[in-house]
Parts: sequence; C-alpha cells; structure tokens
Amino acid sequence: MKPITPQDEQRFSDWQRGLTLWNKRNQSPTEVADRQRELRDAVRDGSAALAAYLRSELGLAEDGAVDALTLPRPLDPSEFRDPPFELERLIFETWRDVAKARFASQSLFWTRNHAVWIDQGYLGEQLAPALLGALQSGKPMSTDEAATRNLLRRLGGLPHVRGKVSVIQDCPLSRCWWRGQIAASAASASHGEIDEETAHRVLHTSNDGWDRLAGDSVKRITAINHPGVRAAIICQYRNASREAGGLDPHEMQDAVRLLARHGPPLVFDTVDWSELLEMSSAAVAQAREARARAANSPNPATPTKRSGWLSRLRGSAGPDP
Amino acid sequence: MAQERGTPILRADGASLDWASARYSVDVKFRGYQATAAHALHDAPQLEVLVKQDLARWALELRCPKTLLARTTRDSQATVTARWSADEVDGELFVMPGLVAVQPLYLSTDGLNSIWGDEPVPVPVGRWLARGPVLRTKSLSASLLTFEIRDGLRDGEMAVTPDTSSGDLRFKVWLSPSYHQYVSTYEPRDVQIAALIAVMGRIPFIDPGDGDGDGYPILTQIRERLEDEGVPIWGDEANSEFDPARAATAIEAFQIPTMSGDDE
Repeated sequence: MKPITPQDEQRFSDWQRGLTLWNKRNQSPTEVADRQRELRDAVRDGSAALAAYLRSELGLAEDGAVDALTLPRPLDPSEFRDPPFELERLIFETWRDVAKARFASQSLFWTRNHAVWIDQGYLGEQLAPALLGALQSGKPMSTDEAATRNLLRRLGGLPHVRGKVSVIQDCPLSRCWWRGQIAASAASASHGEIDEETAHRVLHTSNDGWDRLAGDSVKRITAINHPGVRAAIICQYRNASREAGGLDPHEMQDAVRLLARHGPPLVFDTVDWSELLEMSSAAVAQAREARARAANSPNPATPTKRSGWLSRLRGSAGPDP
Repeated sequence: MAQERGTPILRADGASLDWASARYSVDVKFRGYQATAAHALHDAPQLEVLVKQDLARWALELRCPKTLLARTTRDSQATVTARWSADEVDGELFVMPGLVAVQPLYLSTDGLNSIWGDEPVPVPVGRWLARGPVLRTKSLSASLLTFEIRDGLRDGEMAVTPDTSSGDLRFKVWLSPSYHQYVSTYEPRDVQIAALIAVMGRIPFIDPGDGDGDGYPILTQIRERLEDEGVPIWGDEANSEFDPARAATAIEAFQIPTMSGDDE
C-alpha cells in the first residue's frame, strides 16, 4: 500500500475543501461550482474518467500502480450503496487481517482505495446511480453541493464537514470493516454470549442505529469503546429484537448514554461480564420507560420514531444463547 | 450495583473533599508507543493495604476516539506501563491513571471526611479509588510551540521568541496573518519542524533561572528525550556537538506511515 504522507493528507484536504462550500466568506461560489461540475462530469463519463480524475486529484497519477485492499468481487450499484449483510461479511473477512485501525480511520485511505476499485472496474462502468443519487434521478431537494458532499462521503468520508466520525459512518465500504471489527472485539469479550457473525448482523441491521452508536463512541462517550461494554450493548440490541415493542435506535442511544454515566467512576473493563449485562439491561429498561412516558405525555418532548429496522432484525439475529 | 453511598475518590488534583489529608500523585512519562505511570500515595494507609491484599490495582486507561480504542492496563506494582501499537492509534490518545477496585471490598472510613460516617464503605468492582488527571499524548513539539500572528512579518517569514509566562518554557512562533491562517488550517509538518529547529537553536541560550538542572520542566523532558535518542545535548561536554536540526528531528522526525506497521 502506498504510504500516506502529510503532503498526501494536505492535498486530499485541499481537494475536498475546494469541492465544498465550507467557508463561504473566503470561497468563490463560482469556482467551487466549476470544480463540482468537473467532478460530476467525470462521474457521468464513467469509471475510466472518474478513475483518471481521482488519480490526478489525489496525486496517484505519477506513481503508476497503486496497491489497495482487494474487493472479493465486483459490486453492483445497489451493493455499492449499501452492501447486504452476506456481502458486508465477505468484505470484512477479506480485509480482516489487512486493514488496520490507524489507516481505516483516515478518509484518504478509503478514497484512494475507491479510486483503485473504480479503475479496476469493481464498482461498475456507470457510477452515477450510486454516487450522484438524487441528483441523477432528478428528485427534488437535491443540490450540486449536497450531491458533491454525498459523493465525497460515500468515497471515504468528509472529515472537514462531518468530523472524524465521517469515515466510520458515511462510507458504505469502510463501514463494512468497522462493523466487522467492532463485532469481532465484542464477540471475544462476550464470554460466549454472542458470536461474531451475530454481533456483526446486529450492527448491520440498522444504519441509523450504527450511526448513533458510532457517533457517540467517537464524539461523546469514549468509555463505551471498551469491548465488554460494546458486547453488552450489542447483546441488548439482539435481545430486544425478540421482545414485544423492541428497541429502536433512539432508545438504544438513550440507553447507551445512561450506561455511560457509570463511566466516570468506573473502569468498565474491570467489571464482571454478568454485571455489565445487568447494567446495560437496566439502562435499556430505563430508556424505554422514559421514551414511553414521553410518548404518552400530551406534549411529548421527544417523539418516538420507529424506523422499521426492528422488524428486519427479528428472526435474523441467530439462535438464543 | 451497590452505589447508594457512592465511592470516595482520592484525586491527584486535590479536588475531592472525600479524604481529609491523604494525597495521591502520579507522574506519567511517554516514550514511543508506551506510557509509564509512577503512582504514589501519601497518608493513605488503607488504600495501600488494599493494593497489598490485591483488592485494588494501579491502572492506566487508554482511549483513542478516532480508532475506537479503549483499554486498561492494571498492575499491583506502583509503576504501570501501558503499551499500544502504531496500528491502534490515530490522532490523540487519552491516558487516565489511577487506582481501581478489582474485587468487591469495604473501605475503612479512617482518613475520610466525617461525611462518610463510621461504617466501612462498600466498593464494587471497577470503581476508581484514586484518579489522576486525564492526559493526552501531545507531541513534545506541540507542547513547546504556539503559532501566533505578527503583523510586521511578510507571508512565508517566521520568527521565534521564548515565553515563560506560564511558569514553564514555551516558544511563540510568529507568522504573518495570512500565513498563520494557512498554518492553523493545514498544520503543515514542514513548518512545524522548521519552527522546532529554530527553537532548538535558541535553547542553549535560555537562562535556566533559579533552581536545579534545566530549571524549566520542559527542558528536562527535551534533555531526557535526546538522551534516549543518543543525540548530543546542549550545555555539557558534547556541547560543541549539539546540532539544533538533529535534535529537532530526533523529537519530531519526518515519519512516513507504512501499511505493515513495522515501525512500531
């Protein structure tokens, strides 16, 4: 793998900043629009044009071949936008021992990999449906700026706009590695309560749930990154799928935040597994109760939104422990 | 968990009112991919007994938000070393030292403030009994330098002046307004290293002031770091060998990350 130098990072950051209106005071909207048009044209011209554009912008052109992670097989546009579980699992297995957290946390690492996959034809010839989304389909409410940001997010993340969690949340293929990695560490800390594949399936079931968990893990409550705590949270997700009413991502997030309140006086990975399960279960019960109270109040402060992910999780979360 | 009464915590910064006169101190040193914490208790015999009985252990908790790393190293010895690999960390790493209960225990109220009463306090597993400050692995150069604006400078020009207003030695690196904006936005490594070389050139001429040795704690850190690297140091027999560029790049080298992680 071509090493990432500070100069590479700077070039990448310059490129992304030049494509997005992030500093309206000091940017010329016309120049940004021109650059966005150039990128969109490259996407619409097909994989060879986009690969050439990315190689040039990322500074990969002069060096000839660029080695990258290997995709297990070509992906169609819908798989590229949101890999189904079996594919996500296969991708993670392919990269399990190759990618490292230090690299996987960098948007440039994933964008470079996308440049190579696009060049090699792994993501298909016509990339506009997957990368330009609503702009391509002519749906209303999409702007060039929104389409560009979405495209950059899908290729590896947009850190100067979305923060360091972007690479974990926004890129469907980097997400495969992160979810697999979290599932592996959680399974090994769960004392046999949940196996790795089931843990991965639970994390895969809801992108909304994953976004909330990853967002809090990076930005708010890093204490929940202890593998045992993660394992306990994932077990609660799984267990909730078997119960009437289930647990939606909002409730899960509330429960995680309640659990994290133990963080300051506690060292989570010193606590017994059974006690972690008990604590997480209590946090879930408390979160549910609070949501139910809010929903039943005449003027609920936080409306409960069911995203339908629970119904998908039901029946697919593996056998009872 | 039995937490009706909470758990008294002995804080290194003295912010806790739980203890009457006991004190806890910790000195954490970073070197490469490891942190070593030397913990010390003063006037807290009941906590020392807990360590001897293996009911509590000294701990160093590591957290790296960007790579979702969280891990704790525990030891019955007062000096604890926590290690991580280059592949596990990206950006800042937070390090939290302290003393943690590893078995359910009862803490004697001797030495605690009267609010805790006379009955021993039940402490569940995993509770911090003593806590140090949250430290972040900031590079030595980042601790040493701050970039400031000086109107008289043209773009691309740089000046360096010492600043001891904090009680320790720091250096202000002066840049023109527009160049400062560029450096603040992109944090170019070559500018940081150029500044560090300039700083190293100034260090032999810094008045150490009163006190022993180098006077300023950060100078001691730099001296130790250079000794570890086997690089000539200012102000001793090897003075004539002292090379600011060599010293600066020993502290902040031009590193190129590799996929293999063999630079650990």
